[in-house]
Amino acid sequence: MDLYSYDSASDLNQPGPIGGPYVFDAENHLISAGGMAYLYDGDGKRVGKAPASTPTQPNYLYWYGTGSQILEETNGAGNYLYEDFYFNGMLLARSESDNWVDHFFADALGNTRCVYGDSDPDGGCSDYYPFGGERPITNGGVNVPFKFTGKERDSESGLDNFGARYTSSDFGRFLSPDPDNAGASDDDPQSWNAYAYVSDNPLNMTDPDGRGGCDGRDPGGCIEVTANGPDDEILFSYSYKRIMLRQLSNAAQRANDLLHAAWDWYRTSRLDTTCLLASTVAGATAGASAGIEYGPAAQLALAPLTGGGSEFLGGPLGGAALGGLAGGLGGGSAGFMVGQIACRTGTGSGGGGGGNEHFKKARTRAGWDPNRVIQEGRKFKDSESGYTVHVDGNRVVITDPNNGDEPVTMFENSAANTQQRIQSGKWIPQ
Amino acid sequence: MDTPMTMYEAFDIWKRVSDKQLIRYRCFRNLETNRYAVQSSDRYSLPIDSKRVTFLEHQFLELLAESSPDERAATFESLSDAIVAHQRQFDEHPGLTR
Repeated sequence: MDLYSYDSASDLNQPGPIGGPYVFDAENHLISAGGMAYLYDGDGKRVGKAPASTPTQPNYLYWYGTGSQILEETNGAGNYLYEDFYFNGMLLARSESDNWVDHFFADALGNTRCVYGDSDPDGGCSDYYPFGGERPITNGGVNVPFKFTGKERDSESGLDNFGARYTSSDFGRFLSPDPDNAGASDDDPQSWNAYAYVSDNPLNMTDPDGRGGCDGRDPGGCIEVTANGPDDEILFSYSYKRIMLRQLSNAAQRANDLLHAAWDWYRTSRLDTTCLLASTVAGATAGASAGIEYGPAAQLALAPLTGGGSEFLGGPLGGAALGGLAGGLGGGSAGFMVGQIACRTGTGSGGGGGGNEHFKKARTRAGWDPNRVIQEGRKFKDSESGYTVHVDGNRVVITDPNNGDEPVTMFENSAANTQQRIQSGKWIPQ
Repeated sequence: MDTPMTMYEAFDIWKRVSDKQLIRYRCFRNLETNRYAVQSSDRYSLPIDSKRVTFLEHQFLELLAESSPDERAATFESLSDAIVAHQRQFDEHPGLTR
């Protein structure tokens, strides 16, 4: 039998499913769990996480607007990690520091059911038990911390941050009593339980901020969810489509990178026309297949430009075709490139054989070779080694100018550290 | 974040990019928080350039002395998450290698 203990303010502090004991401050804020300390602003919003050993030195920060939703996440030095996008109160997407975007697909309750992102286009799918327990469906579940009703689940404790309070999906209730529950309604027994989540009606109600009851007395309390869920036209709003357009733009940029890589190879290689056609066709076919990944994004992105309908270029087919075009362009380039390699080295007469595999390798190459920091960053010369230093924000890439500007090392560096190196003469502006 | 008493375990993760190129991820584990961070990713190509090897060894110590791994990069509960985050920072999209 488990014995639970509570502090003097009735907060559950021992035991926890994981990450206990929990420590609360005088205002009932959870300030420590699972080896991490939490920091709050004057409005009670959690603004940072820090190792419990150094609780005043956060290594993760949350940035809010005027509302209660997180708009940006950074590391302790303020370096940008994620930017969060909402519509109608629902978290729809999260862009990363490299400008790629994870797209969230939510159900009527706002549960993050699937994620589509760049690091893994199948960002995982999850189902949820009524009180938030996660049931991974694919890829080990959604690979983001925003899970049950879109609230952040702390990996160190397993608790969901609802704002004013935290819930435990293992317990199916809050750890702290409702701060607005002082006047529980006599004629509503469910309201007597100050720890209950949405009056134990989790399939029909959600709680946006962790405070207030579900008996209608408190306009800031929980929200009833309609049986049909959010309207599709609202969910796929114009702003959401703008995000999708950004994703398509990224796909096109990637194809462009591959085209340049192919062109660079062509310039330095002997052209063999025998291989050209076969390699290009095989590569384009593989690329079009890969482009299907971008098809849905393209279709959604372009719909508002044509009146929001699905008529544009035959709807999904048109979108897939455009996505395929982007992928095909890259694939064709890749096929051309590897075809030339095959012909020049005598390892293949067709040149385009195994185009799909070659396309994958080419895409890897495009990510590894000329990257954004080198192209867009400020340039310095390292006075000791003669290497070229590229600085873009907090990102530093050092390349070897005597070896085709091949990358030597990559690391993050604070602005202060960069400035110190410049002032000391170690890095000389170019 | 570290304190003067914070201790770190340093170790390397290697990735063979091709039969001529290697990436060495310089990783750290904070012994107090048990969280991981990647300080840098260093590249080596055949033929091995001893000047580069020396430069990277020198840089490893220089970066560590300059800032703690916790301050230099975001920390993660798993090593793989830390490496993926580092790769994303530098456009080395791991997902595109599928």
